[in-house]
Amino acid sequence: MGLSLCSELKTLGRLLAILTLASIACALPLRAQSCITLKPANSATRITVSQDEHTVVIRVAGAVNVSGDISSYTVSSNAAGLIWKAALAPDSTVTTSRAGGVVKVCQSGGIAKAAPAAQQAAPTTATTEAPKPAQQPSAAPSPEQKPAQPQPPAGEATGAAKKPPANHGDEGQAGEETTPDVTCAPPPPEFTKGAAATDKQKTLSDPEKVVTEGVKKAFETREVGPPGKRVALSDTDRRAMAQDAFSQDLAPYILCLAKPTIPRQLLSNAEEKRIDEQVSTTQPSTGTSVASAGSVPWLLGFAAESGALTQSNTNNVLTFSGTPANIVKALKAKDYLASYSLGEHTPLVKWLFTPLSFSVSVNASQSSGGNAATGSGGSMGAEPASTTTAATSGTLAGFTLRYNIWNHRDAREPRYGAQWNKFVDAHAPAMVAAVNKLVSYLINDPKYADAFVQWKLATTEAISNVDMKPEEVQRAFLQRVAALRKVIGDDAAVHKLLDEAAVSISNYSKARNDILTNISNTTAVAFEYTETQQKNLLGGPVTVTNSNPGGTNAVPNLSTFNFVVGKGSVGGSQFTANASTTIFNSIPAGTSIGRVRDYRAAVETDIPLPEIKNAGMPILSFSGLFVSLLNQPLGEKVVINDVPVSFRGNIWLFQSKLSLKIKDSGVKVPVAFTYANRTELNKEADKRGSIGVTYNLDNLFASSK
Amino acid sequence: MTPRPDGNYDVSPNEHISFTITKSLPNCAASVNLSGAALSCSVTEFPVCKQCSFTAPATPGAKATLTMSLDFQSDANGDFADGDMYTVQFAGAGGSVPARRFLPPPKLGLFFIFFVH
Repeated sequence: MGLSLCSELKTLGRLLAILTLASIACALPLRAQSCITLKPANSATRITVSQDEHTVVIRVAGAVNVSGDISSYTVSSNAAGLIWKAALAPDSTVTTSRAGGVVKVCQSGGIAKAAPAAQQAAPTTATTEAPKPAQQPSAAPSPEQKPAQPQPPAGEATGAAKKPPANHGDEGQAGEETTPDVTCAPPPPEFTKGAAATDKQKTLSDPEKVVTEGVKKAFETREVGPPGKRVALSDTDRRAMAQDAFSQDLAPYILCLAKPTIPRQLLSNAEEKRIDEQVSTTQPSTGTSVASAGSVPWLLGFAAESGALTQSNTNNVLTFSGTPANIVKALKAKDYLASYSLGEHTPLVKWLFTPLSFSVSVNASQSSGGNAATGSGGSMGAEPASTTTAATSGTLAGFTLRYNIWNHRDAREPRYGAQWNKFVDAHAPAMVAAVNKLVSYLINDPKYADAFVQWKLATTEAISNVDMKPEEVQRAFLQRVAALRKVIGDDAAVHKLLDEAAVSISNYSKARNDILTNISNTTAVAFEYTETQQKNLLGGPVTVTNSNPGGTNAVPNLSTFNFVVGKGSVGGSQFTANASTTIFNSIPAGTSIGRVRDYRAAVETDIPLPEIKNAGMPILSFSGLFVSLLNQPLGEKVVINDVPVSFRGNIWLFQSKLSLKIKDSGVKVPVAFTYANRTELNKEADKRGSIGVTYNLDNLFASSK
Repeated sequence: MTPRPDGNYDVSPNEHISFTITKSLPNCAASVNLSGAALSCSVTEFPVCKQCSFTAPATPGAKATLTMSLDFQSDANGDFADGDMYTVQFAGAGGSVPARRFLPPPKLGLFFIFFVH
């Protein structure tokens, strides 16, 4: 009996031992680290990882190769792509790492919930292709795109146990420095089509760029207030301003988290849309421009052009333009942006110097020019003297003084105060009300209140010092976006409020863009005086036959008086009209020519075309010019290629031009094709192509700020 | 009225809160909205953009949410003036608290939460 009992106990012990070992053996694989690796099939694929207390969610937009232990994941899809989701066991830890676009998500320390049989049977390596999305992938699913599997809302505080405590924005990554797994997707393609959304707009409308620039500006601002009332700021002040710029404005976060069909337009920028600024030469017979534009660069501009419009030469002309008062103000203020308002209350500066601009053109022809007497003349003979002349490189081709009679294209002018008030009253209340509704919901709902307050505190503290680099700020912003996404979870009610706020912000921004466009389209009127050194503009040798047998008359210089009207129109196009007359500065002795050389009328329309990706915004121009040449064009009889030239009459000229504005650079490359029924120095019809480069240095100064 | 580290404010029940929004350069383009209390604003002229006040809720634990947009105009080149700035000055029963300064670019979704204690 005793032996039997002992034997049974031994048997029972063996069974218990076997059961224990079996349990341990079964449990070990489940408690070991289980990883899934997602390798993007191409650069367009976006992978985001998020987790809360109960689940880890991997969102994939685009093609991806998946390998590893996928048995614990269920797969669903929405319009933005595929969603891999795994339930987490208590005490489990999720770590996410990224390397070269490859995302590895590992679970450890818990027993993962078993996946459905169909998923368990899935291969351990798979290539998946997301459903063809109609738009860019979203940083967060919209309510209607919510996966079927319910996901309880989880606050940042509730998920804090899985996060490194010192990293406020980390998405559950085990203390390593990783890129936040969220991006503010660019605007959907349909929004960027057309001239209304330039590349710079896209840059500024990018919420993370707006936040980064706002914080950077706060860091860089050493004093505040209008000129004369500046107040110095301490590091504490600057950090506080940066913190407010970073955390107090919810609009960028809202746009980042809204569904992607909502345009992420936060700001607009008028500068890249401006096509009315004249940078190229205004010499009446040279350059690629038929008409002078309504505006000039506020500070400095530079142009290099080859060829002439109404003359048969091919010389190169360099033109440097600027506004003297603004150059002086910029030098004095040591700050391009601050320089704008300097002296604005001084009548002499406001009414005389600021509207005045200049340009100087220099002949950059490669030919070595000069003058040479080629015939007998003077007191020695009866034949008129003649001189062969050609342009010399580096010689002054002419200069222009320009006065802006009427130009109110600056939205900051006090005259627009009432217009801005009306705009704000019409469009802002809906926006601030929508944001208020969202914040009030989050702060008053017990499910979100604590987590949202924690998020706000952590977001404020994310700006830790005034020496943070822009990339650090940008990374911090993306981390805070990810953290806010965790706070709001997939709750349809919150996402509805979020999307409504995003729509209202977008609507406001669109209306704001419209008002800025309307202001920049107002009529501009200017008057120009141009002096042209004719002999320095001649491309090839020209033999001038002096009318005065007793002397050697020089080719007379010209004075042109030009009246310019510019007006913006629909789609950002600009219409410009010029009316001018040119006179001889002197009447060569022995001649009977009149003082007036010609009358001119020109019209031009500039049409911005849809932006070319990674290149810039092209501008298509059509223009026409009529010249009534009353006298021989050079004021003297001239011989070109042994053919005497003294043509009078009318010249008709048509031009089509394509100018490519290189994005964010101020550089514009105009390529023009011109047809003229004749030129000033040639009675034959003339067809020619010309190319130039212009540079608006305002961009350089502004971007250096 | 006491500033909180998170950028919001703790206020007393029924505390009278006022705030003034001023701008350093023309033109004003500010809008405000308040929930949880009744907002009263008076007509102002530049440089004062808004002059408003409200009474905090009477119940401890209640909250009032103030949202505002502060817009800036860019110049003819699309740039914002360096000297341009909004200043938001809050004041409670104990007087003013440190002013909040907002520089360009525009802030379209500013929010301040007032926690009643």
